[in-house]
Amino acid sequence: MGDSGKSSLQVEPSDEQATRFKMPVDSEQKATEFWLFSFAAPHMQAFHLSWFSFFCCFVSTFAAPPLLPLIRDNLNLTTTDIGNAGIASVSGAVFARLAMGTACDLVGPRLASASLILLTTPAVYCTSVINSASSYLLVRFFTGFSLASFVSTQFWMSSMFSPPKVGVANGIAGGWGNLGGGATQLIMPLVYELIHHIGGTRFTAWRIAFFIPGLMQTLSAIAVLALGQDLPNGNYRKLEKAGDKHKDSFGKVFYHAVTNYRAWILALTYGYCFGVELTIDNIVAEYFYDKFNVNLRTAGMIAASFGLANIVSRPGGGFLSDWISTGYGMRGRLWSLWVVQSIGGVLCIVLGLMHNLSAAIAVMLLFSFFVQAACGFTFGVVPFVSRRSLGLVSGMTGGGGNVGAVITQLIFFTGSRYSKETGITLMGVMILCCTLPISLIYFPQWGGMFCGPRADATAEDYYAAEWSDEEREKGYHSPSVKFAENSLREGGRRRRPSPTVPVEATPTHV
Amino acid sequence: MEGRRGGGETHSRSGEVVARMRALKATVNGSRRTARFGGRPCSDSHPDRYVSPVSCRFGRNGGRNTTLHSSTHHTFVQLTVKALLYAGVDQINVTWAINQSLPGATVSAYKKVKVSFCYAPASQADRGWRKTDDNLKKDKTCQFMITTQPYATAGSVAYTVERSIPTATFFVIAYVLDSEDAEVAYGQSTDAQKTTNLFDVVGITGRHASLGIAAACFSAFSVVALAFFFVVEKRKAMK
Repeated sequence: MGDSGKSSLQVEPSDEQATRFKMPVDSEQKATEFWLFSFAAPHMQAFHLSWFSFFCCFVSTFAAPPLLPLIRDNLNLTTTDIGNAGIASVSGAVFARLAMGTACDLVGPRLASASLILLTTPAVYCTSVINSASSYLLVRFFTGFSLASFVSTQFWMSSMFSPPKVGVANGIAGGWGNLGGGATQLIMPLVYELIHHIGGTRFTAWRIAFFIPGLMQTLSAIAVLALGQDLPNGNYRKLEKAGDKHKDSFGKVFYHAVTNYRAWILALTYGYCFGVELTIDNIVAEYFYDKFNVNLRTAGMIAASFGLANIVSRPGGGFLSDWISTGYGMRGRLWSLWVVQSIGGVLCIVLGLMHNLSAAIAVMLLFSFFVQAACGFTFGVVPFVSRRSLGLVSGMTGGGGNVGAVITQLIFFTGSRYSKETGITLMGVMILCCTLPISLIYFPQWGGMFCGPRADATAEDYYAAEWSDEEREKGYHSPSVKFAENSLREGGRRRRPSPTVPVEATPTHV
Repeated sequence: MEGRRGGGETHSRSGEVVARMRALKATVNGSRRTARFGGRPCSDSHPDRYVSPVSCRFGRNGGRNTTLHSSTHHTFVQLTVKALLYAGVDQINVTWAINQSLPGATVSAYKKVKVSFCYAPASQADRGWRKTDDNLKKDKTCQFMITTQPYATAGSVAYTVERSIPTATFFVIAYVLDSEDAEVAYGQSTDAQKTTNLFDVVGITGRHASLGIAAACFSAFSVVALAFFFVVEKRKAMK
C-alpha cells in the first residue's frame, strides 16, 4: 500500500528500456533540457508542431482587423458591428478552452488540438464569402474558437518537459503562438496588396487573402496529426490499450479542477495579463490612428509591434520563472508573477496618460513586455496546481484570459462612456486590483507569497490527494508521484533538508 | 437593395441611368470670414460650416480677412427620386457653374476644380472613419474623387461609378482649388442639411462563385482529413 516505487515499475512498459531519446529525460521521460533549434522527436518536435499550429490559429483569429478598412466598406459595417465582432472573436474561446482542457486530459493534446483546428478552418475559408454584418460576426466568433488550442499547447509542453524546463517551454510555445496576433497585421495587408496588384478588385482581393490563414491552419493541423505524439512514450490510445496509461473519467478530472481554488485565482489574474493583451490587439491600431493622426499603415505597424514583442517577452517570463525557482522555488515564482503583472498595470495607467506619440509608443512597448511576460510567469505556476486535472486547470486559466478580454472590452471600450485613453488608464487600475489575489495562493509543501511551507507537507501528498485510496491502490496515481519527485526544486534552496518521498508511509490527506 | 450577384461581374441591369446634377445654390450669406492662423476650426454660427474652415485651417492669408465663396448656379432641375447606381456599370453626369455675381470672389485665385463623391449623413452614422470635420485636413466625408479639371466658369463630367465605390448614400461636392491646392470655394448637389437630392450606390460584393466553391472544397478537405486520421488511429489501436 502506498509503495509508489513498485507500482510505477509495474506500470512502465516493457519496451521502455529500448526507447532511446536524443534528449536527456527524467523518470517520466520528460525532457530535462530544451534545445530550441532542434527537431528531436518526440520532445522538440512536439514543441515546434504545437507552437506553429497555435501561431496559425492566432493569425486566423486576428486576420480581419488589419483588413477592416476594406471589409467595413464592402459589408457596410458600423462601429457597433465591428465592436461586437471583436468581442465575439475572443468570447468563443472562453468555453472552448475549458472543453479543450478536458479533452486533453481524456484523449490527449494531439487529437484534441488537431480536431479543434481542423474543425474551425471552415470558418476561416467561409470568411471569403460573407456579405453582411451578422455573417461577419459569426465567422469571427467561430474562428475565435481556435484560440483554445492554447490549452493543448501548454498541456503538451507540460507533458513533454520536466518541471525545471516547463516554464521556458510553455513560455516560448505560448509566446510564439501569440506572435500570430502581431504577425497577421503585417501578413494580411501584404497578401491583400499582392492579390490586388495581380488584378483583383479591392473587394475581391481581401476575400482571396483569407485563404492564406486557412491553408496555414489546415496544413499545420495535419502535420500535428501525422508527426506529433502525445507523450514521450507514445499516444494516449496506444498507451491506454496496452494498459500503460489509465483512462481517466471526466467527472473526477472536473471535480479536482473546480475544487482547487488556485485554479480560479489564476483564471482571474490571467484575464488581466492575457485578456488585456487580446483587448489591446483589438483596439490599439484604432487608438493610435485616432489620437495621434498617424495613417492606417503606421497604425498597423504599431499594432503589430505590440504583438511581435511576444517573441521574447512571454518566453522571457517563462525562462525567468524557471530561473527564479532554482533559488526561491514556488514562492519566487509567485512573487515575480505578482511584481511583473503589477508593473504592467502601472504602465497601462501611464499609457493612457501619454499625449506625445513617441512617448506613447515607448510606454506601449514597455507595457507589452511586462504584460506578456506576466503570461509567461503565470504558466510557470499552472503546471503545479494539479497533476490529474492539468488539462482542465490550463483550460480554466486560459478561459479566464478570454473572459478578461471580453469584460475589459465591454466595460471600457464599447460605446462612448469612456474615451479610449481613459479606458486604457482605468484598465490599468483594474489590472492592479485583479492581480492582488495572487497573494492568496498557497501550496502547503512550498508556501505562498507571505507564508512559508508547512513542515509536514510534501509534494507527493499534495498530488496524491487528487486520487482516492482505491485508485492509489491500483497505481493510477503513479505519474503524479513521479511528477512530485521531479518538482522537489520548487521548494527552493532551504536550510533544512528537502522532504524525501516517503515510500513506506501511508500518505496523509492534505 | 439587392447587391451584386455572384458569378463574375455580370449585372442584371442593362442600359444606363443618367442622373443630371446641378450645383444647388448653397445657403451662403456671403459674409466675410476671419482667417485664424494655426488651424483652429472656426466656431462661427454660420449654418454652412464648409465656408469657414479652409481659411481658418490654413491661415494662408496670414490673418487677413478672407471670404470663401461657394460656386452656385440657379437650380432648375431637381432630382426628386433617389437614383440607384450600380458600381462599375452606371454613369452619372455632373455639371457645375460659377456664380460670378457674389461680391468679393477672387476669381483669379481659382486654379482647379475637384469634384468628389461624398457620404451623406445616413452613411456616416456610427462610422467614425467617414466623419465630417470642420478642419478639412481631418475631414473624411469625401473619399472618392470623380475628376480634377482646370478651372473654367462652367464644366461637366460623365463619370462611370467605379467598382471600388462601396454601398452607401452619396452627394457630390465640387471644390475650387487655388494654386497651392487649398480649397477656396465649393458647391454641393444637396442642401445645407444634406437631406435632399442624395443618391444611392450599390457596390459590388466582390464575391465570385469560384470563391464559394474553393471555400467549400477546402473546408470539406479539412474535415475529411480529420476523419481519415481518426480512422487510421482506431485501426492502429486495434492491432
